[in-house]
Amino acid sequence: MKTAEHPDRARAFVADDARAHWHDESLWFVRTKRDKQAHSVPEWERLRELGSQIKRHAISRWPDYLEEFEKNATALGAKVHWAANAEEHNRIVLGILQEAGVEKVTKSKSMLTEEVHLNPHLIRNGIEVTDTDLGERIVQLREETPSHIVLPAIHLKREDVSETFNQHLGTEAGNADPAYLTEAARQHLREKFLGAEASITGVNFLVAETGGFVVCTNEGNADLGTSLPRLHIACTGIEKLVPRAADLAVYLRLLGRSATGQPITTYTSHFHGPRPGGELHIVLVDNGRSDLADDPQFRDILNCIRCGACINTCPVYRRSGGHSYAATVPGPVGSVLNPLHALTPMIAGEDAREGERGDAHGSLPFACSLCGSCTDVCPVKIPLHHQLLALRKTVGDRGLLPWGKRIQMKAASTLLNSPKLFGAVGKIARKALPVLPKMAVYNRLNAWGNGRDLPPAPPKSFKQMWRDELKAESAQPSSNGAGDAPR
Amino acid sequence: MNSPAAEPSVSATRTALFKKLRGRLLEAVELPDLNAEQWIRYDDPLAQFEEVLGAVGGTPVRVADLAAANAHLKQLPVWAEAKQTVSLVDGLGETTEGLSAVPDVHELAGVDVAVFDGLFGVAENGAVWLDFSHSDHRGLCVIAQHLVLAVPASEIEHTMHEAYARLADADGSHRQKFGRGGFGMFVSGPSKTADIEQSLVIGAHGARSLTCYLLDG
Repeated sequence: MKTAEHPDRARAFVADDARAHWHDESLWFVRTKRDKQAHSVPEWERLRELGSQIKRHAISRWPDYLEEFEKNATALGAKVHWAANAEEHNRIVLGILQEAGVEKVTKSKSMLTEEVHLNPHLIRNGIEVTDTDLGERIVQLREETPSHIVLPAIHLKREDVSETFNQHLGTEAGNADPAYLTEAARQHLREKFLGAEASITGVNFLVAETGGFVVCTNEGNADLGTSLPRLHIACTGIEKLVPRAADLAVYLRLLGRSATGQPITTYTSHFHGPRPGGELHIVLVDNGRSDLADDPQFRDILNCIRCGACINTCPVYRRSGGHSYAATVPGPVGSVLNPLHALTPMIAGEDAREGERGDAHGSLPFACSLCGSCTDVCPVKIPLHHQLLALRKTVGDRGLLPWGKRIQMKAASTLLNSPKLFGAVGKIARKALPVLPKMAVYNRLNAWGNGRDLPPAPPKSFKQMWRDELKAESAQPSSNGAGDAPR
Repeated sequence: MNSPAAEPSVSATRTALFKKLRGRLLEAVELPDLNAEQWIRYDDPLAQFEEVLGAVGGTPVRVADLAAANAHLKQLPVWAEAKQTVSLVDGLGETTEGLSAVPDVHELAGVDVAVFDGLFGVAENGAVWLDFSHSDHRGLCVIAQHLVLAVPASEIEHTMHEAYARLADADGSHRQKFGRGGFGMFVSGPSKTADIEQSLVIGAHGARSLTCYLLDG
């Protein structure tokens, strides 16, 4: 299995220092807005606890709630479909569109349809699909993928957007005013909305109790998209369930504040059945999700409401960019989800599943400083950095570490298990390091030496210093009397 | 393309999924009772609503009654310049002739201002609940260039919990009201985006402005 490395993919991004800093600051700005909103709610910590508990409850009774949702949604006149994987999802969606004779579709933001690569599938089959979220439209025109789940074009500067729009929408060359560019996109996408024969949306929450679902946007694209053509297809992962409509209050209070530092998204739309004369299909997709509930260590990743707060706060994401993760979901949550998805069959003794781009994403749990900031901001209390640490072990156990790291780990394990050897190696290193040529220390065997310098070697080891200190103490009687611990 | 016989049927996927999910025993996690919780209460929910709505780009306007709202609306430049308007609130603005039947949202693409009744507002986030369960006007509220809402000033809930309690059936669930079908939305301020360099731009796909009349009378 291919194991592309996160540091390799981040290299180009990191090389442009000014841009990397700008990216870092843009995301930190969003994190700051999130803090302000979170602090405005006195019961914030309680909400996080409830957000976690309701989701864990829903997963503990997953089949019951799925069945309840299906029953209620069907009673409302929606058609519910089940897809085991990406291929089946895409076949179902294409089938619905072909049966209705649809040639033009608008789509609002849906990370699920990114995950299953729906767009290329529809385009291959002669259907024009237009992403209508501004950020998603920008990356679609550039033939890129979103670099963030909430802010798809966060890696781009206004000049990049200006160039793209100049090329595709005929905007003035060099005009990079965000208001001007947004207005151009509005006009361009209005035409797409009015000409569409079907609309596809994602889903933020499925409500078991009512059979309805909620979609949140700031732009209004999901609402404009679904209110024009008569056919609406909602695509969703099976983990988006909440038991009761009252639970929505908890999540809607958490989602907008955590995502972009807004008290709530502009539009929070509740769909219950098709609109009069319309047709509503709900495609429920597993694509590996059902496996994630097996291991209690990782189960809480299913709590995720895709707010992106962990991504915005992550020091590695902010400085390496979303594309370095080579996955639909980047950042801490992606660094758990992607390798977990690929490795879960291996844990059960089967072959690894081909992840996105055939990659096991084995390097992602290491794209982390274990600072724990992701865990602190997660609105549904996923222990992200603990999961990342645990996944490093899994990646190691499965033999997916690059050989340089593998050898170093083995060496470190031998060294740290033997105090005698540790002492001897330390002694040699203190003598040798200052005089060794740079090549001998910083080579491809030393993955950690890449971009980092060792501190200068101390003249004495800690043990030696301690011993010398004790000697000095006993030679000079303590003024505080007996029983005093060495300083 | 694929021969139909080679494709697994939809129900086979469903059966396999439920077999897998039912075949696994997970430890029970209690569903929390949200009624037992203490949520924030604002000293003046109306003032809080006005403040938050202003912060998210909307314009709250407190008026004595519908007549005062109507007089204010007529002074607004967006109304004065509008060629097409649709009002679903008696006494607040008018509907351009020929648009009252709302035959198809496509035909409303030229509407400049749309006027709606909001059932209630939410103090913590400046959202207004719009109920479209009995009509298909939901497209109008995003296709119109500008949005005008009328909400009774006395109908401001503190938090989203109270908002959902308001939308609930007598038994506290939402099975009956939501389960009857239809569409409803919380709208908080005008349509917006920050997808270009995190620069906030008002007027993405939906309304370019939102004026919310808070009626005292």
